[in-house]
Amino acid sequence: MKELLPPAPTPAPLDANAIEHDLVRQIAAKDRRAFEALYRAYYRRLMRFLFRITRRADLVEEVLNDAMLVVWQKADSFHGDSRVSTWVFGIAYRKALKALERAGRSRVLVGEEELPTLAAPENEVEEIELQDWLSNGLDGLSPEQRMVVESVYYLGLSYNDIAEIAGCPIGTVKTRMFHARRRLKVLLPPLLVTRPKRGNEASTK
Amino acid sequence: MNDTLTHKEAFELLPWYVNRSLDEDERRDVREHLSTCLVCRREVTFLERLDRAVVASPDVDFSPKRSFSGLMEQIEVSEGPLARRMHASLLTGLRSLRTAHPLLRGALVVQAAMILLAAFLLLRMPLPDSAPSFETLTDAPAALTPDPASARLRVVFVDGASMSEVQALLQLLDARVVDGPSSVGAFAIDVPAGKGADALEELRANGRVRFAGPALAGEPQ
Repeated sequence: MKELLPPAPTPAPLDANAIEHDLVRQIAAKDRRAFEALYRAYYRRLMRFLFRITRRADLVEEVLNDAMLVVWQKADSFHGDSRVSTWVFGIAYRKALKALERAGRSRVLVGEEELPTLAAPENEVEEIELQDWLSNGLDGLSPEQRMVVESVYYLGLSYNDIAEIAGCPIGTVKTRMFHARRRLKVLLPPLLVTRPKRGNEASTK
Repeated sequence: MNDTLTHKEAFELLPWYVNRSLDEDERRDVREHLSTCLVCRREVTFLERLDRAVVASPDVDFSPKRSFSGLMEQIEVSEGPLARRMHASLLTGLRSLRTAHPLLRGALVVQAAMILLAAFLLLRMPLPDSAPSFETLTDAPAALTPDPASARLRVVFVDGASMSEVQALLQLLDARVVDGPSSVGAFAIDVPAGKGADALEELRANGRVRFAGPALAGEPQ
C-alpha cells in the first residue's frame, strides 16, 4: 500500500501587523531605518485620513509629523494590545483634533481644489460633479463625523476599530455615522439619483 | 422580520454591512432584515454610492521623502544640545506668531523675547575649564574648514564594515574623508557640491552605514 507522505509545510502567510509590530520594536530601540519604513508605509493613508478629518491642507503635514514624532518617542510603550494601525491612527486622530482646536475648527484656509492631488481615476463629468458634491458634503460634517465616514469607506474599518481609534464607545461611533449619513443625504442629491445597481448585496470590498 | 435585530439596529449597522466588516452573525441578521425592509434596501443603495464616491476621491499627494526629512531634522533638534532646542523653540514661536489670534500675539512676543534672553545669558555664561565634553552623532567636527566646492556629511559605519567596503562606497559617491573617526566613530566626508542630498540617500540606503546626516552645528557647507 502506498504510504501517505506528510503534507509539505506551507509557509506562514505574511502578517502585516506582525511585521509592523516588529518595526515598532526596532523603533523603540531608536532604529531610524525601521522608523522610515513605518513612516513610508503609513504616509499616504495618514495624509488622506488627516485631510479628510481636518479639511485643512495647511495642517496635514504638520499633524502627520506630530503624530509620527509621538510614534518615535512612545514606541517603547506600545505592547501590542491593539494593532499597530489602530495605535498609529489613534495618535493621528487625537493630534488632528488638537490641531483643529488650536487653529479654529471652522476656518478652512486652503480648499481641496488647491491641493496637489493624484490624477482622478475617472474624468467623466458625472464623477467630477459627484466629487464636488462629496467635498461640499464633507465640509458640512464635524471632524469627528468625517473621521467615521473616512474610516468606514476608505479604510474599511469595523465599528470596533473605529471606536478604539477615536477613544469613544461603539454607540458613539454608530451615532456619529447615523448623523453623518443623514446630513450627507441632504447635501448629496446626486448620490440619490437611481443608477444601475451592482448586485443585491454589498460588493464594495 | 427577524427577532434579533430591530429596524433601528439594522439601519445603524448598514455602513458596516456595505464595507463588509460585520461578523458573520450580524451580517446574516442584517441580510435577513433587508429582505423585508424597503427603507433599509434604499439606504444600502445610497451607502454603496457614498462608498464609491469616497473611495474614488483623489488622494492628497505630498512627498514622503521631504516630509520624513523634515521630521528627522525635528527629532535631531529635539534630541540635540540645548542651544539647538532653543533655536527650534524660537522658530516654533515665530511660526505661531504668524497664525495666532491678535490677542495671543503679545504673549508670543514675550515668549520669544524670553527665549532670546535665555540664549543670550547662556552664551555669556563662562563655562568651567573642566566641563566634560561629549558629542552626538550630529555634532559637526569642531575645527574643520569646509571646502566651499563641496558638501560636508557625517557618517558612521556599522562595526563590521571593512575598509574596502568603505572605500568602494566613498568612491561611488565621489567623496573623500576629511576627518574622523570621532569619539563616537563618526567620519566627516565631503561630497561634490549639489550632490549632498543624493549622497545622503545613498548612504542611508547602504547596509554598511549606521548613520548618515549633514554636518550641523552651524558649520558652513
